[in-house]
Amino acid sequence: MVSNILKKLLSVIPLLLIISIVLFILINALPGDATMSLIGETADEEYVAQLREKMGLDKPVVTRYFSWLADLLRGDLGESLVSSETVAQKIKMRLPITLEITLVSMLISVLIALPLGVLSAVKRGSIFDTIGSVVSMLGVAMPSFWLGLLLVMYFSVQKGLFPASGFTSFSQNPIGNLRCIILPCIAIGFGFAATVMRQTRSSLLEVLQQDYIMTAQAKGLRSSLVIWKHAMRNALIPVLTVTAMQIGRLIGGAVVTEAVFAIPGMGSAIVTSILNRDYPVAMGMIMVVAVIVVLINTFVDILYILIDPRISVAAKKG
Amino acid sequence: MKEKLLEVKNLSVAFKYNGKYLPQTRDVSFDIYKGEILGLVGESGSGKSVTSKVLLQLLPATGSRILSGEALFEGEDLIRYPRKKMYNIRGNKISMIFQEPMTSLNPVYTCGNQIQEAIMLHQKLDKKAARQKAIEMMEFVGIPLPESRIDNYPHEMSGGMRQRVMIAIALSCNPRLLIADEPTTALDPTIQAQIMELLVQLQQKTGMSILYISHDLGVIAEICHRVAVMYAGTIMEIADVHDLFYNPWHPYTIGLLNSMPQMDSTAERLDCIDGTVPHFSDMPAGCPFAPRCKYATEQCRAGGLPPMTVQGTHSVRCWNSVNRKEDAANG
Repeated sequence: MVSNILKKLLSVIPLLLIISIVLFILINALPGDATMSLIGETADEEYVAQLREKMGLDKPVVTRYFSWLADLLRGDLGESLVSSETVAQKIKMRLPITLEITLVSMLISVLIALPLGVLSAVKRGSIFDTIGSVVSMLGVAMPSFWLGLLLVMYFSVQKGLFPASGFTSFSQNPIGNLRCIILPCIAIGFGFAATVMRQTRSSLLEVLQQDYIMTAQAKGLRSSLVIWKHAMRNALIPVLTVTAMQIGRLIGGAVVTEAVFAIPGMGSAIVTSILNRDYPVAMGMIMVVAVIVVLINTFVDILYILIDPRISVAAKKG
Repeated sequence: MKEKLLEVKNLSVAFKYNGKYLPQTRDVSFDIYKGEILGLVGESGSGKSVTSKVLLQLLPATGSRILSGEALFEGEDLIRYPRKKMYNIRGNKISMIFQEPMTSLNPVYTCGNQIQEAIMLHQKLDKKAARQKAIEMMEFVGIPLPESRIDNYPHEMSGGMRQRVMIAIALSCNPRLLIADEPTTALDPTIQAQIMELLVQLQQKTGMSILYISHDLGVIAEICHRVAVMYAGTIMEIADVHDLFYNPWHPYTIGLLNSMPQMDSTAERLDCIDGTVPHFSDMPAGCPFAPRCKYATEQCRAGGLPPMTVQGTHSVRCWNSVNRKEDAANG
């Protein structure tokens, strides 16, 4: 088991290298280069050439990739072309906000999705199941930014309970921080909960058909123990997979919801930096998001090994 | 006369089919005496498993319904026993083992964990004592090196060993009755013989009763004291094993016995019963076996389910034998 976990951890390195290459190629394939963001598209050609030389943009792509990678490995992500900040400073400002929102929305969604999913699987065909499927349909069908707008209209504009937009950091004012992230987190978490709930229900329903569930019942275990000990652990793997995928999507992808609530997160910063052709910022931020997503998925892979002992065996044979 | 442990009377269970509840088993009655192995034999779909699961209230709560009957076990009716109290019966006084040892154990827990669970639940032992008892149980059912195998996961064991683990779980709380639902069907013949021998040995050691369900008459002949033959949801014949094999009364039992391959037979083809088992949604009006029976009369086809005729320890459900008995009484 330990060797399998180590193997999983080591496989992260080549994966991240490949991601960095693809990212570098994609960013370079975008029309225009960094000089344009500095001096505009109508600048004198001679001046542009000078600037390209100064910034190293005249060198071949491979050379530039390796010097970028070398800097990256030293922890130097470069400087923004638009503002005077370094890329690292920008990330340091934005990343905690995104992580906090992701974490809280995940928490909200799992707290809704697990009990509701279990209930609708166990009481299949009952009123709970119907309510559960309506709620999850709503969650899947409703875009989170739209739900966000509805929440703002009701709770902020009409009731004045929460601020409609803006962000206060946790260190400045913990209560204020919670007040301003609660609506976006509900908006994001609800859609997220829908997917997790559907997965919980279907995978639990499948497990409940298994022979070992009958064995557990025939042993005299109470229904709650049969479900939470014997069925849930087997049903958990697909649920975890879906959850991990959602987290990955949230970290870089909550752009629209961030825009609705005017939250300075990673998603909006990446979009702005690409629009401004601020490529060092874009590359640095995307790379950080990629690293986090890869780490989360690796962590989930390790969880699989801990949950299901057969996965270790399959890895050994494969 | 031996003492009765379980008395099943006129049990009928219905399942939902196309929106209607239709009887799947009809008027099932049998007794299990203390210390005996009762075989329940029948083709697949004849209602053997339903009959065994209903005794532990293990049928799905939605989609099945008890139409009539009772199952008296130590003076209590298992069918109507409150669900909450059922937890003290299951795995404690009545245990069950199943057909598929490959899928009957939970893949994510060790075998030891799964044996201990029942012990801790019913015998109120702490974890350490339960583990010790689990090791003893594994030794009891013939698993070699129990101290190390106790931490194995089910996938690390063979089918035969897994079935032994299942038996260890079932017997860990000294049940009065073990329901064995085709416990050897999925195993290799050599392993099958080992498990059967083990069950017989354990039965003799513990004095428990066994309800042994199988579709294999050979297996039944090997280990059972008495046999009940089930067909299309009802019991057709019950007799001592010797009686049943050498003096079968019911045409279905005779057909079943003739369809068994014989080593000393010179016949090139096996006898078989023509036709198929009727589906429970499409039961004949008379005896369910009538459409396939050579001796069927008008009464068999239209006269409803024939009653059980009892003669000593031999009972049979057949109009012809009812008539024979009446003729004998009249003449």
